[in-house]
Amino acid sequence: MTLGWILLSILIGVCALGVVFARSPISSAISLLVCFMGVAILYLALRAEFVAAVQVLVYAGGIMVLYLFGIMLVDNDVLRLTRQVHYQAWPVFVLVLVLFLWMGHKLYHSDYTAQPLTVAAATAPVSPSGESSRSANAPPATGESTNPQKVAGVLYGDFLYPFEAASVLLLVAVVGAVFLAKKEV
Amino acid sequence: MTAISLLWLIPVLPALGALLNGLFGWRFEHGRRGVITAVALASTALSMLLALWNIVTLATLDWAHLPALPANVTADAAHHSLSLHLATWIPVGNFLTGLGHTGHFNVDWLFVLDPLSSIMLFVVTVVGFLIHVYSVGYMAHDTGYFRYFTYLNLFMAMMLTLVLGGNYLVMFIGWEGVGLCSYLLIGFYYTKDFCADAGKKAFLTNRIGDMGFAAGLMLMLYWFGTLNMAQVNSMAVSGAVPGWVITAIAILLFVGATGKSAQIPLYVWLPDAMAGPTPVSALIHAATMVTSGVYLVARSNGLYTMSPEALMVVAGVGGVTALYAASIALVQNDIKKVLAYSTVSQLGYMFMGVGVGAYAAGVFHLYTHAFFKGLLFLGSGAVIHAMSGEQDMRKMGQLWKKLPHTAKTFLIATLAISGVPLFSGFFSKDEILWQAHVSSGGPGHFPAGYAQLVWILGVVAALLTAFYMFRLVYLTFFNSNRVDPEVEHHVHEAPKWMTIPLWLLAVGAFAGGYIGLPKIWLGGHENTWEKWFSPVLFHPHGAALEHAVEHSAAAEWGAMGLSVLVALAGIALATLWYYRETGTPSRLAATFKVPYRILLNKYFMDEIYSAMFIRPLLRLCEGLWWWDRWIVDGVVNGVRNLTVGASYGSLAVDRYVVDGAGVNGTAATFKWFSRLNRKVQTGQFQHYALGVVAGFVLLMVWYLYR
Amino acid sequence: MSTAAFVMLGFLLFCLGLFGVMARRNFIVVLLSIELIFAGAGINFIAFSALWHNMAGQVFTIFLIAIAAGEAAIGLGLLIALYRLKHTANVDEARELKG
Repeated sequence: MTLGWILLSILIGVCALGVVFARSPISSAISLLVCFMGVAILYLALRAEFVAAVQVLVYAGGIMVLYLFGIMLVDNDVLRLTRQVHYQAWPVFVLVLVLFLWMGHKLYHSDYTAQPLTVAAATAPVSPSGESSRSANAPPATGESTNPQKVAGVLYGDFLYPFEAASVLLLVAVVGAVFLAKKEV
Repeated sequence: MTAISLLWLIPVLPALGALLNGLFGWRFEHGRRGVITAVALASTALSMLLALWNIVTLATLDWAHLPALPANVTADAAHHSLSLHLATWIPVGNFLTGLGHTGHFNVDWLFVLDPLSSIMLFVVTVVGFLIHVYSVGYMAHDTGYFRYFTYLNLFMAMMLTLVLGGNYLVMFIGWEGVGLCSYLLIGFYYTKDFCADAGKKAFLTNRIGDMGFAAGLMLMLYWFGTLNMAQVNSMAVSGAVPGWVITAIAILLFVGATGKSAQIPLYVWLPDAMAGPTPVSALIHAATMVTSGVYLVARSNGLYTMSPEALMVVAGVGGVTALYAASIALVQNDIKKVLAYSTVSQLGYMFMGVGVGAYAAGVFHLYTHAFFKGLLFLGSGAVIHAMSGEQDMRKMGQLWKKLPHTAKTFLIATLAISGVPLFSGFFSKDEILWQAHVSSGGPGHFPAGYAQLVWILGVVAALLTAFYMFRLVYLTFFNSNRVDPEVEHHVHEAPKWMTIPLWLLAVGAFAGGYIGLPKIWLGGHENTWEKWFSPVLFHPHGAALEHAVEHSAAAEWGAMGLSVLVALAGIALATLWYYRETGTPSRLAATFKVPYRILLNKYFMDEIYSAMFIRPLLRLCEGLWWWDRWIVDGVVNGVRNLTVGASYGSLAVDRYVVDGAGVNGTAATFKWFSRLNRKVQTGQFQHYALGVVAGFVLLMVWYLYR
Repeated sequence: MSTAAFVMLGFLLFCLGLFGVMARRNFIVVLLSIELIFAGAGINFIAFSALWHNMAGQVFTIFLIAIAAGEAAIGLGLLIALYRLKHTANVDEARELKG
């Protein structure tokens, strides 16, 4: 698994770099798309199937399309002529580098993150819910809920109110977006 | 005895006349002048009658058996005086005198009627009244008629207060008052500069004398504890007060007398005072005011008798002044100036008299002098009136026939003043000379021969007096006709208003002396005058001074003969040179050029005074003015400038510090800081994001490493 | 596979996205960078969900995706507004609040 993870990480990393450093916004958008694909694969590897599906469908399929629409609406020729990176890029670079290195060092060596993590491994992890583990490739046995079921159970169970709030938030976002993009007030 | 209780009316009536004329006289000035005249003459006449009544009452009083007196009248039999106490003026209360006594002292309105004051009353009221009458004619065509009579009445009131005063302060009121009236009347024609200046000169010179008088009063108050004349004199004679005090007071009082009676050194105002109307010169500067000094000395005879030093001063000054003034009169050309210097000289005689202790003789001469000098002045007034204002004798002459009354009365007065026997002046002048010859200076004694020296001065002065007076008569009435033809048309005798007083005074000038006949004529008995006067004297020896020195009747006859000889010599010389036009006077003047010039310019006294006193004083005044202008005002201006400067400074502080640094500066600082701060607000969200992230990083660093 | 690796990966994406937000001038790229940050956070969530066998992490990730959608809508609305005003997507032109 390690090799696959490394390759996946490299893909995600390169694509992320591509997002940030690409010259044209189309390139950035496509890189981000591929990046999201990679992230979805990563989710799958971590046995979050529903989330991975949602990621592909909503994120890659909806949001990125939206971004592509946005890019198309804006005149990009003008963009090409001007400087792409801000004057403050270097201080930012230094700062982010410092942040990444130092914080990363801290994170990497903290107790929190020291525990091993199964990526569809044969070893059975201890689950808080007390369920016994089995082979990752096998479909769940009857009586055992699938990932969407589990997600649904928690989502509409513990997190019902946040769910409803999120829908309100989306409504607000819709109204806001319409208002912002209107021709006249 | 009602006469005495009305004594106070004697000064008050003229004062009332002055008030009425002063307040309302202007209404009658241009129409019915008779009203003014009536008021003035009536008040003076009534006063005169009251005075005469009082004198007669006093004379006929039996001092051994006094009748009942009104409550406010006290009698002093020893001194033949009646005091009328009108009111308490200044209640002073108890105070410690220099002798260590507790003086209980009130200054009262006290009028005293005694032989001396009655003599003065007589002179002042009678001569005063006659001069009032004369003035009616003299001032008939003058402007300021009512003003003149107001002042004249006021003068009468003041002079009467002076002579009736029972204490020195009441006398001082009159003293100052006559000084004021003198100023007012000398400067009567105030529109003319030299008249106004003459008035000022008189007042200021008098003032200097008054300082001495006041100083004397203060000393007197301190040492005697009283200002009452009778008390002061008796205390002095009793020896209670130290001798030096008496001498000091006496000399200080004499300084006042010098000013008022025009002796050396304060006589300079009298010749200039001739700028006033002639009746004024007659009344004030011949008969009455100028004699107040003599009156003062005579009244204070107790003081003076006890101080031979003071008497020496008085006699010496009197004698020297007599000779000095006579010498100036020799060459003067203005008729009134001659008479003025003559007055100074005759006053010198009076002071000679009182100065050797012969108070009666001095006052006797005062009395006769009032008549003949008054007559001389009034006569000269008539002459000037006839000559349409001409006063220079060189332009007169041959007026005898044209001005019969004036000329005859004038001659009578001249004979009197020259000391020709049988005229009043002879008796009084001779008495003084004799007393000077035999005086020893009273109980204190003069240095040997001092009085005799004074006598010699008097004799020489008599010679000069006779000479210059007859010179005046000849130049005016005889000699050659040097009258300006223009003026000659108008030469006429004076009106009756003027000539009647002349004749009345002439009677006095002739016959006035007969109450003072010399002792040797009366076979050794006291004459009427001395009998009348002696109660006034406080010292037992005062009345008998002539016995102090050995003398014989022969000596007295000899002295008398000498003075007659001297008088006749003077007349003879004058007749020789002046009766007809001769060249002798002018030749003498040309030969003795320097002495002539000195005499003509009155020994340059005015110029000397000006250089010695007046100009330094003016210099001092200028200096003080400079001080005031530059130092005092400089300080004031300096403070002003400082304040103004400070206000500018304050303005500057306010504008530059408070407003500039404070207000604007604070604002500028804030602006500068905010300009810096504005740079943070770039409006670009990426900068804000950087800020957020940077802050976050810092926080994390801090959090993880604390 | 330790959790640290996943966390590091997520952190890497996070930092890259941070860099892109602060350093790029093109507004669209800035928005894309914000999405990148979201992605990094999501990886973190899922990793810990797998560690603790807790569904909450995955639910949170769903919420995160929803929020990212809303944010994308707003961001694009802003882009349109910016383009309409300044006729450019250059972030530097959005300086109205300067000073």
